[in-house]
Amino acid sequence: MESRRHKSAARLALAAFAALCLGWLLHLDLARKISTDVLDLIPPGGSAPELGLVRDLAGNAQGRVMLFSLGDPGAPGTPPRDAARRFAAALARSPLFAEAAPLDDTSAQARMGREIFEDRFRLLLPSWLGRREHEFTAAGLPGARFSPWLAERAAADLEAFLARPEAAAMQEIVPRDPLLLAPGLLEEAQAIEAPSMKAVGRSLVWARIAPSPLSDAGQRPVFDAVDSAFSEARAQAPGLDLRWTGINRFAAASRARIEGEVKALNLLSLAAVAAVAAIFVRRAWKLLHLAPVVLCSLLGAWTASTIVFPRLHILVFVVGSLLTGVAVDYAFYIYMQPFLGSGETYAAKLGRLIKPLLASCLTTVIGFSLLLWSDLPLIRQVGLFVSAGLLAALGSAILYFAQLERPFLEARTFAGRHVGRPPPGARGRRWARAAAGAALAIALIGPLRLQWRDDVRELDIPAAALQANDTEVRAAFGDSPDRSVFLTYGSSLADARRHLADFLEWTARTAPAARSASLGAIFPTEADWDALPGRLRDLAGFSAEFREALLRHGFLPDSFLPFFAEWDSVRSNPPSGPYSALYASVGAALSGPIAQLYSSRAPTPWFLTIVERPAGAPPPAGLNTLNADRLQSLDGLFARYRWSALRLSLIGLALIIGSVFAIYPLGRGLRIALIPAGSCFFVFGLLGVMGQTLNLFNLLGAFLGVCLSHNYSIFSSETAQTGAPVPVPVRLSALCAAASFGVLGFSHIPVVHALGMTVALIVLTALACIELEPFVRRR
Amino acid sequence: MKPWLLLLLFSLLQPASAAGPGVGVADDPAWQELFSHLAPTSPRQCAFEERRYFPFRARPVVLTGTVRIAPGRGLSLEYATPARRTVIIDGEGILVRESGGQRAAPAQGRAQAATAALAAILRFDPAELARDFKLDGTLGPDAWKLTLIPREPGLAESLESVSVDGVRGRLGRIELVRSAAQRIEIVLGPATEGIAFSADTLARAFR
Repeated sequence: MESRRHKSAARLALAAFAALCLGWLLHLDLARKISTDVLDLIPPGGSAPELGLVRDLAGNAQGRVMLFSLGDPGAPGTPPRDAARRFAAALARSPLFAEAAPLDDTSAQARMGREIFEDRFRLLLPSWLGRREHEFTAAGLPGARFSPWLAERAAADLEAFLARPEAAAMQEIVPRDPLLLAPGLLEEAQAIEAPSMKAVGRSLVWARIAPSPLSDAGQRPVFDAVDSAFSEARAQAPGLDLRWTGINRFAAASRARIEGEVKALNLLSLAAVAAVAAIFVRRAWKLLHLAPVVLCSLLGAWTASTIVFPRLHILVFVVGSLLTGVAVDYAFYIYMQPFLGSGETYAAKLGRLIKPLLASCLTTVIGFSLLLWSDLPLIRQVGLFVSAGLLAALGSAILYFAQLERPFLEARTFAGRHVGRPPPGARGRRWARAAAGAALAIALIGPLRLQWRDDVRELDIPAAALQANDTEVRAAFGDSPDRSVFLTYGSSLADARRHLADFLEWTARTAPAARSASLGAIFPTEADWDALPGRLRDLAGFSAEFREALLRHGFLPDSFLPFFAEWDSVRSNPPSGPYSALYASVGAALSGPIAQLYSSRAPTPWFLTIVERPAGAPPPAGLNTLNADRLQSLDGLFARYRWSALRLSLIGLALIIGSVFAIYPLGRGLRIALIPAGSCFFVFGLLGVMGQTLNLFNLLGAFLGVCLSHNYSIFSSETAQTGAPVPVPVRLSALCAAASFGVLGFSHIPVVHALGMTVALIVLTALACIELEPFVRRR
Repeated sequence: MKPWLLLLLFSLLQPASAAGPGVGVADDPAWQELFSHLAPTSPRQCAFEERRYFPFRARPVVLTGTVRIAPGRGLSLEYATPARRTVIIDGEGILVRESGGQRAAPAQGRAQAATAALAAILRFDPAELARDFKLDGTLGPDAWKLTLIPREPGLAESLESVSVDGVRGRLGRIELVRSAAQRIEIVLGPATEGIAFSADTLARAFR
């Protein structure tokens, strides 16, 4: 008989714990605390500049771009220009849009072109002189002949230029720019011009929203503004259709689906656990006693996580729903163990059970706590969520059952029977051992065949329809599989520009037929900028030599008087000043899509380059250049995190096994360690044999599966020694865990699916090992 | 009335009556018959010499090559000298092929104006021409000359006028005039009608 005082104390402690947790959670602004921002899943930059780039691209101007394509089925082949202008004007009037303009409005480009042209001696001349000096040096001519060589080369280039299609359009600027500084830049920029002709019969509108696309303000209110602007445009052209894309559409869809999954998976998980338990126990209503334990476990997990982390990603709660399956383990073990006679008190029963309970709980907590050292915020958050939840589950199970009168949940008769007895003959045992040998072979060889690949996009729910729409709209704006996009970055603008020069040189060398274009070409490298005054000083005779060369090539040198006047002025007052000032002056003149082609923001300024060839092998590491596709997946980076997680998991496993050997004798310790490890290797081996590709979350799932199997291994340790059937709580726990993780296996989020499937398979394998152990044991 | 006043009055009236019948050229059965001869109904090719006049050059820049028209595929200018280059004008826009690579022509109106106008003119569709240009012309028993002035202000900014002349049903010369000192003159050789372009030529000269 439990004393009333003990029961009250347990009730009070449990109520105080629940009240404290609820009080804490209720005072939180959950909307601010819980993030749906995919950027919160990515670690801050640190030593990986790719992350800085992803954050910069998604969080800043580039992520705020929205693209619209309007067409009028009533007038196929004719772009609805007026309606598009009206639509863009309506968007631009909304405070939610920072910019909006039809793509055929080239006024911004023309303005930028004028600015660059007027500033060409400061911006373009340093690179032009640098390139020519490089070519001259490569030709092996004596240094004193550089000026006449340069004059002849410039005149010959000018003559050749006049045969080009664009010469007619440029002839007005040629008298001021016979060195072709601006036309040369334009020729290089061809690949980044908007190919509006690809959108036959459609008008394109480019816009940039003011709020972050990942925030609430950047989603529903923006979508409403788009609807309103479209209604306005339709008033003019009733048949108008609109296709549009933007990161905010993906973010909003992802958020809605993840929130839906949180609810559905938690409910399904609970239902699966309840269903399994109802099959195993006599009085199913008594299962309601498990609910307070599960709720307290979740309360503890939520409270600890929200106390420790300033922001938690919603995915933690999706993955955290696994706690339901684990939290019931301790409750089952306590609740389903019969009392030894009518005289045994709850305290005495608990005293019997406390060693395996603590051994399993604390070792699992130690293992998960190690995940706190992971580089990935999500894994750190899951580590703490599960650790805190397990401690809360054990504590609340002990306290909750302490307040009941002789708590005991009776299992159905079949639940406590042997699954099968070893056949008496040696032949049956030989078969069993052969099967065990085959499993061992799979466990040893299969993992060697595993393929690993991680993709940051698998953290999200794939939205096939939105993706198809995005591809179509972006294709109208010029995206093509025949083009690849690269980002070249550096620790400073000078560093990034130097790497860009190296990358463009590498591209020209490795793919000479592929045109490439980067807005970075506007800017000289720091070396060319610094060398400009000296180079101009050495070109004292250039004016006269260039006049003669022009005459030789059929030009009228006096037509170029505006150029010679500007040249003399530049020579007497060479451009100077800090290198970064070049970017400030150009940046102020940029707007619209062109402004998205480079970033001078610290700490990782970057330049975008479009190369007219499909993406091939990644550029060499020294070029500080990433293919944008690889940047989207972050595969290489996640491989590093995978190895980090593997290292942590192995250390955790070593700690768990070490703890087991400290608590149990060698023979039992060996059995306890081998069952979870063997199950894990067998499952990985099986997946390897089946040719599956695994990711970081399969690894995380394996770690969790090993921790759970380790519990069952400990809880069944006594019966394994005596040859008694596997304890019902072990069977029930394992099947509940398999059911709840199996539910996660149905998740649409690829990583959650990976995690759930791995845990469920390992847990079932471990249970099979425990059940079939007598078949392979020596008699 | 003094004769010089009559002469002055006539000279003043002349442009007015020439501008007015701009629509008349397209409607005139004689011009329509000529247009029907000139409009390509089957693949056609001819040699050409293009002279580009620039105010800062003493002599024009001379380019030579072959022009091809394939109904449904567009117009192709295959330059042979001074550098090999192919300019393709079709429903998808203007494409330039050179040195093994290809690129869209610069997107600015100015860069495309002359080439796009050329493509429109060589289709010799009277309705299309009358829509896009003010038409004026002289049609003699043998020689004829047609002057086209762009209606669209954007095009007019980069192209003052286009004149096309020839003898009977043959197109001999096209002149794209930007200003007195800036013009492109294209002299066309005899055309081969109904030519069957080889697969290689089609791949090289068209998109």
